[in-house]
Amino acid sequence: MLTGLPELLEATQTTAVASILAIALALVIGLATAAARQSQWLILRKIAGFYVSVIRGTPLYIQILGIYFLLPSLGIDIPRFATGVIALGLNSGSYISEMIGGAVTSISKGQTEAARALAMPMSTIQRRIILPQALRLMLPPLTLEFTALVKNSAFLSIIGVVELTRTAQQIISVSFQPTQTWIAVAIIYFVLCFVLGLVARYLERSFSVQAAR
Amino acid sequence: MSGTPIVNLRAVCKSFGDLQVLKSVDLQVKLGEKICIVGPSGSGKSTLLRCINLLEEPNSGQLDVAGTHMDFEPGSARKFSEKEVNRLRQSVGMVFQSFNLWNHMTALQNVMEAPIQIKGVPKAQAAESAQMLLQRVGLGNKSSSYPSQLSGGQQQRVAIARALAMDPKIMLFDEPTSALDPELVGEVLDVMEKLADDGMTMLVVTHEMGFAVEVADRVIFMDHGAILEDCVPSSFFHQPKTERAKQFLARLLGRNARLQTPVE
Repeated sequence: MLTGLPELLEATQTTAVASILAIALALVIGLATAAARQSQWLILRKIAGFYVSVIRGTPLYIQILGIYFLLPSLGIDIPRFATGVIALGLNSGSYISEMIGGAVTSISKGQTEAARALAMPMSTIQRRIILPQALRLMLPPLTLEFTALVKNSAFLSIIGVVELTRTAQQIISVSFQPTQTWIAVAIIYFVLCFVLGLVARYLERSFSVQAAR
Repeated sequence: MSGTPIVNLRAVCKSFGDLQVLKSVDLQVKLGEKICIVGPSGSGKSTLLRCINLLEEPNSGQLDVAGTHMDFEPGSARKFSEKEVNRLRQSVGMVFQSFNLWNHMTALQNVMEAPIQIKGVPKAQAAESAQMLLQRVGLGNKSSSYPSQLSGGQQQRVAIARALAMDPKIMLFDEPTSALDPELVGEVLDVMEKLADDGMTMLVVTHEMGFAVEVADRVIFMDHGAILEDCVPSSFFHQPKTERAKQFLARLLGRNARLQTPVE
């Protein structure tokens, strides 16, 4: 029997909850950023473009540490767990905004034109015509991104969030069973990602019908 | 009421960059009229249609469509609000060359979407009217099919039903049969003919000269962004006035004549 298995399983919950919250946050940020990049206001486009290029051009490790030290200096005092979720959400949100942008532009102009000719306002067209189709196109790359996010949540150990990886380090420091412990941790991450993949495949099937394209 | 103008364009100009696509076009359409617009490709036919429902905004000129007046002053920065534009578009249905059905919705959902979103029609009522419209275009049994499961001709008929669902006063057809396999052209033209018989005002950009002869009250011939002829079909086809119309017809009819020579 592996020492510390109950603790590992408990920490798995923290990893799962942090991942789910970060995914939700990333979707909101991604959507908002994609909208900002298409905005008619130059300033919004510039800010969104800057955010995306900063995230893309720096390591996640540095981003997490950066946010961890930046927030208190701005007078924002929140738990490490919340800081971690924000960092993961900000990181993933920038990539998601790029995916949304790509999917939206790949939807043919005729789809929008037919809606315009029927007197639909632009906001309705986005909500009813563009996004539902874009979401379908985005599901496979989104799944990859969310899988990466679950694995990247291991980096939250560096700011002291007691998730799976951090817990494993603590267990090993007393049990001296690094090999068994890390193998167990690897299996848990694998299962988490596997379940995520199953959910994604289910969504893809239930919602694409023969429609997509 | 027949005789009332529903569309009135005056001196409408439209350019894309340096290319002037419409050169001061005047056009009056009376309620109930069926007009076919013909001409070589690139002559501005589609752009003319697209200016009527403001998918393209004219650079200058005036436009009256179904009671909405719009004045386009050259160089003026004034843009018409989305609301004004959409009020005009509610009276104008449009059918595209490439159908443009929404791929993520069934035939029925395609037809009921705009009445629900734009006019606030209750869902059940919209579905009922949509089903009736699909029946009218001969597709009552295809209401739950997605566009990808329908032939081109069927998709175009759904697209016609979708436009009719908004109860337009005028219908614009932009080469509605050009993207279809030859054997599917007939079913779409049949629906359009029925629509014409029901008294719909129609502006049809087409290469189907048979349809023009049978259905149109007027044929408009366009070339290089200008209307060169505007007359009843018989005089256009038998006594075209301009040289360019003669050439256009000769090319078109010559091709058909070759096709009709018996092959041993």
